[in-house]
Amino acid sequence: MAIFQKAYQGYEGDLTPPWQRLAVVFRYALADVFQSRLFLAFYLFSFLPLLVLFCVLYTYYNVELLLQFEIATDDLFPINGEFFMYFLFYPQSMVIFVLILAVGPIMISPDLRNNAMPLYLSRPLSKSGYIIGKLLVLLLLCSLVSWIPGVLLILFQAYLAEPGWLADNIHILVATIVTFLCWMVSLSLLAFAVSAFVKWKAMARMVFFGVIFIGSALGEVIYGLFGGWAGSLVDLSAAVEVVASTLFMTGTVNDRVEIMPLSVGFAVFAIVSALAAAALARRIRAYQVVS
Amino acid sequence: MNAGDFAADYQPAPALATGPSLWLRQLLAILRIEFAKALFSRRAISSYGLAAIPVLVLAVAAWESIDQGDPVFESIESARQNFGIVFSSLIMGSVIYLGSALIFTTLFRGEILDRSVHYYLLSPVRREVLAVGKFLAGLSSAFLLFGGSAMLCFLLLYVPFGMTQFVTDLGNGIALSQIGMYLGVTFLACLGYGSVFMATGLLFRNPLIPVAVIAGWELIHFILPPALKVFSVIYYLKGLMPIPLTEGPLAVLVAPPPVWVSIFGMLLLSIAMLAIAAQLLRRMEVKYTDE
Repeated sequence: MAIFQKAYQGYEGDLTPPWQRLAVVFRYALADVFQSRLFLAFYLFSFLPLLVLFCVLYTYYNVELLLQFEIATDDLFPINGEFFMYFLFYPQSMVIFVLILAVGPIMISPDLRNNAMPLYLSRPLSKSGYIIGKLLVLLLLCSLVSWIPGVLLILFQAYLAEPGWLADNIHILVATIVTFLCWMVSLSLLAFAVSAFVKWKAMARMVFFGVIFIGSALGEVIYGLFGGWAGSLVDLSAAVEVVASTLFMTGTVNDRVEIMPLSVGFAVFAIVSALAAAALARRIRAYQVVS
Repeated sequence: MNAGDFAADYQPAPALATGPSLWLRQLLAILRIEFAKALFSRRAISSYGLAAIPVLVLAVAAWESIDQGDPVFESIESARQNFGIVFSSLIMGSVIYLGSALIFTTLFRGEILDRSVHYYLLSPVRREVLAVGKFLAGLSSAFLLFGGSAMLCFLLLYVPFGMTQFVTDLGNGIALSQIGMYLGVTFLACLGYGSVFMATGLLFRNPLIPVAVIAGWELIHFILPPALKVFSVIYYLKGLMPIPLTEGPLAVLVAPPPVWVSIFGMLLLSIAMLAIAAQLLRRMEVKYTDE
């Protein structure tokens, strides 16, 4: 057939389901993340606190080991919401922050900088598919070091403790899942939004760090000047603290956070995520002015 | 015009005598270019945003006092006290710190990422002159932005109390001495942090690492033993504040250094950091593909 006769013909083969298309973005983004050996080392290290917690729980219910360590049963602290908040949630939420700081701000910017977005979006892949594919990487990495082992830890505790512990402390299970998910989703979207606006990897990380850092300082200053919880609206760490302390049913040492209602805490997460998603939707376009 | 005519018209550039006069001319040229880059490029938007944050907070406080009839500050003394807290925690602790990190890190790292640093390295200019020129440009732009922000914030304090109070304070010298001290601290903070970040910008490929580590160190300086406190910039600056601030119950109390020690300490630090930066610059080889 002559070349001029080869007119455009639509593809007539089987189409892959939409989730499979975003799995391609996910797979390549995940592979990119683990190219850094330093990151791999950090990621493996972030499991260490969880392993220690498993050991602590095991020792807690093992009389022989307690005797060996010369710990009297009266000296043992209770395993309750406070235990899981201080020893599971706080350290691992910090790990999540560092993890997202390392990976999140540099996931979108290379594609934008190298004018690759038209190449992605000219395939049967939607804008939301692209974002979800990238987001899944962060959610998977964060989930594996936060709420998934957290739930396993709680189930392990329920197995070792007296019957009915889980039913009495079901709020700990809910709190672990909800607080970790709120923290990781809002932080990831914020990191992506920064990544979409700051093209340099190094600068994107610094801007993301600055946004969280300055939000915290600004929250303190607004509380100092005006009182009330208005200052916590710009401070994501205050929102996570109020959600965690309420759901884990513990007190908080921060006066500023104590007065903030739970609904406002959730609203902060929702607003930050929505604003970040809107910013992303604006930046990620199927066409770019090639520079 | 043919090649022969070109050859006939060719005149070698006049030889310039090397020495201080040439270095000064080159320094001024670099200063002019870099000053414009630091203040009037897209890169400067984040610095303007940072400088606007405290102004916005105090503008809201002033507006609330006037419009709502609910004074945020009970008296001008309370306003000055609160400004001390705002200056210490927000302006110096966050805005100047992050602003200096952004401005001074990008002096060289930004050029490397822009792939334009070779224009400087190929020009017949001493690397020391280049380092000093860029540093002075960063310092002047940082001081102009953050000093302006601090001055504007201080003036906004007087809005609820009226012009009469301001004129009275100007007359008795309180306003002038306080604003002078705040501007002095701002200048020294830009000098100290700026010199450190310029050197780390040359030393580290990922500028976030030094920025985060130094931020952590500065945040915990109040609990550090006296022997370690001397290695933080904030230790030298806090003693210069017009209103001494409490550092909380956990603070390790230590007498602030004398004013001359603070000033010379910052000057020596900046000279040392500039020397390190110049040394690093002398050995610098750029491989853009590695970045």
